[in-house]
Amino acid sequence: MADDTGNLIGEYQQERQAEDAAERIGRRTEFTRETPRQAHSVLEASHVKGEPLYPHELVRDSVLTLYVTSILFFLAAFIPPPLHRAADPAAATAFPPPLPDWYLLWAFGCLKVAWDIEFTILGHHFFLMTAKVWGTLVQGMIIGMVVAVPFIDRALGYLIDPGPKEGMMDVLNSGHARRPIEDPVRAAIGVWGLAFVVMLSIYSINANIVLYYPAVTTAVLAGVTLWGPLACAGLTYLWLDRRRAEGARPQSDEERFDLYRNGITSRRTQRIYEFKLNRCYQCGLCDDICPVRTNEGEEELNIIFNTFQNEHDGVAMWSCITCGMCTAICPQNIEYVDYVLEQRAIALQGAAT
Amino acid sequence: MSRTEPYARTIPHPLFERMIINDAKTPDEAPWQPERQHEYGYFPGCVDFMDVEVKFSHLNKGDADHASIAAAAIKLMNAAGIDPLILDMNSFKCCGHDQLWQGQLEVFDELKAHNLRRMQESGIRTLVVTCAEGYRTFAVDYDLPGQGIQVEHITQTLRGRGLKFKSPEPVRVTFHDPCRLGRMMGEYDAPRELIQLVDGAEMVELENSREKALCCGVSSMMYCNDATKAVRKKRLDQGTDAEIQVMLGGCPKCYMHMQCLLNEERMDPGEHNHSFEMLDLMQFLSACLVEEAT
Repeated sequence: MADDTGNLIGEYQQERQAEDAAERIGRRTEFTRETPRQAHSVLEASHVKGEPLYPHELVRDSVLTLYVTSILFFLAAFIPPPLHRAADPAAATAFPPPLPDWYLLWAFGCLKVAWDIEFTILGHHFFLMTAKVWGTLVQGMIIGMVVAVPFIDRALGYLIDPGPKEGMMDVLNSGHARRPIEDPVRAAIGVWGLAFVVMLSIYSINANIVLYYPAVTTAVLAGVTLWGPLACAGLTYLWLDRRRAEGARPQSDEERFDLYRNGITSRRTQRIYEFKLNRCYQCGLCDDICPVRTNEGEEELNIIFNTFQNEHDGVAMWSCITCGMCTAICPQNIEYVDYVLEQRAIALQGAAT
Repeated sequence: MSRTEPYARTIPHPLFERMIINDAKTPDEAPWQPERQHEYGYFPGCVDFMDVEVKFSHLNKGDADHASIAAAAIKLMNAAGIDPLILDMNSFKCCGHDQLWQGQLEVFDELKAHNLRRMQESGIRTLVVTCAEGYRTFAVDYDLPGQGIQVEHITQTLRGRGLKFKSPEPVRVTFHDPCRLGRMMGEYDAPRELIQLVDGAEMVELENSREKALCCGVSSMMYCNDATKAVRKKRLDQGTDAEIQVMLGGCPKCYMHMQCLLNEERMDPGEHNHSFEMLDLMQFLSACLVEEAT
C-alpha cells in the first residue's frame, strides 16, 4: 500500500516537473518576444484564457438545459393544466371573464379606463376617437414617457449647466443624485409611476373583483387608481425628506460596521462581503472615479474591475489607497474599502511581522 | 502612460512601522493610574512618533512640525475650558490604524487590547483625537462608544464653545476633507463651522469637496510612489485653481503627506505651481486664537 502511494506521488511529481519545465520554456520564449511586465488584469495574464467553450461551458449549459427540461416533464406529467368547462356559445358573457396575462393587465386597464372622446360645440357633434383608439394611444404614451425621462433630464441639466468640465471628475460633479434619499422628488415620481401601473392592473380585473367583493365597485376602484399612487408618492416624499433632514446615512452603523465589532478573525466575514459585492450591478462609476486607476490609466491598473474578476493578484489589493471614493459614488453603497481591508487581513494571516 | 518597472511592494517607512510593531509585541502589563479624574482625554496619537524618531520631514528638507499639532490642540481645549488628560505614548500605544489597514490584524489586536485596558484605567468619559484616522479607529474599530466612552474629533469638541478667532492678516483658506473623517465618519460640518468663526479668513471650497473630496493618497502609510503622488498633485492643483493661500487639513497624515510633496517640489522651484501652504486645522486655529483677558 505504502509503496503504491509512493509510486503514485513520484509519478505525479515527475509529471508536474515536466509540465513546469514546459511552461518555463514557453515563458522564456514569450519573454524574448516582449519585455516582461506584470499583468494587472485577468485579460492581460497570458496563462489565463477565460473559460473555454469545451468542456466547461458546454457541460454547464447542458446540465442546466436537461435540468429545466426534466422539470417541465415532471410538471406536465404530474400537474396537468386544468381544462375548464367547455365554452357556452349561448351565454351573454364568458364566465369567469377572460383576462390577459398578468404582465399585460396594465394595458388592459388602460383600455378599460379609456372613454369615447366626443363633444358638442354649437350644436355640432364631434366624435374625436373611440375608447379603443384612445386606450391604445395611452399605452404608447406611458411607454414613451418612460423612454423620454433620461432625455428630458439631460436636456434640463444641459440648460442649467452647459459644457461639462474636462477631466476625471465629470462623473462625480455632473448629473444629479443617484440615491433616492438625495433626491426625494424624483424618487416620489418613480414611486407614483410604479404604483399607477400596479393600480391599473388591479383596475383591469374590476369585473372579477366585484364578483367576490361586492363592496369594491368600479367607482371605488377608479378612485383608488387615481388617488392611491399620488398618496404613495406623497408619503415617499415625506419619508425620504424626513430621513434626509435627520441626516440619515446610507447604511445603518450596525450593518456597516459589523465587521469590526466581531473582529476579522474568521472567513465567515468574507462571505458576508462577497455577498455585499454581489449587489453590484456594474454601472462602473467606482471604476471611473477611482483615483489610482485614473492616474495609472485604464489598461494599467483596474482595481475594482480586477476584484470582480476574482483576480486578487496582490496589485489590486495593495494598491488601493482606501480613500472611499468608490463608496461615496456607489448607488448601492457597497463598502469596497471594507472588502479591501478584509482581504488584506486574510492575506497576512499568520505572516511574520 | 506606460510603465516598465513593477510596482513597489515595500511599505515606505520601515523604521516607523517596525517601531510600532515592536511596541505592540512588547507586553506592558503594569497597572496605570492617572493622578486625578478627568472628564476628557486627549490622544495625540502617532504625532508623538512623527518628527521625533521618523525624521520624516528631513528627507526633503521640510519643516513639517507635527508636535505643534498636539500642542495647539491642548492650547485650544484649555481656551475652551476643557482640562484634558493627555493619553500619550508613555502609557498608551499607537492606535493601530495603519497596521489594521495594512492587514496586520494580529498587531492591531494587541495594540487594541492594550489601549482598551488603558482606556478603562484612565476613567475618562470622552476621548478627543486630532487625527481623523484615530477618530475612525477608536469610534468604529475599537467600538469605544459601545463601552461607555464617547469619541469626538477635536473639531466636534471645539464647536459651539464660544471661542473667538482672528486671523493675523486676511487669508483665503480651504478645507481638505480627510477621507476617514468625511466619507467614513460623515463629519463635514464641524471643521467648516470652526473655520467660519475665524475673522479675516475667507473660506472657499475646492472643486471636489465634502464626500467628493480627493484623497491625499497615502492613507495608512501604504505607498508613496508615482501613483499616489499624482493623486496628491491633483489635489494641490485644485488648490491652485481656487487661488487659496492656505490649505487646511483635519488629519496630521494629510498635513504630512501634502507638506512633504510641497517641500519636494520646492527643492526644484521650476516645476511646481503651488504657491500656498498646507497646515493642520489645529495649527491654524491656535495661531488665530484670541486670548481673552481673564
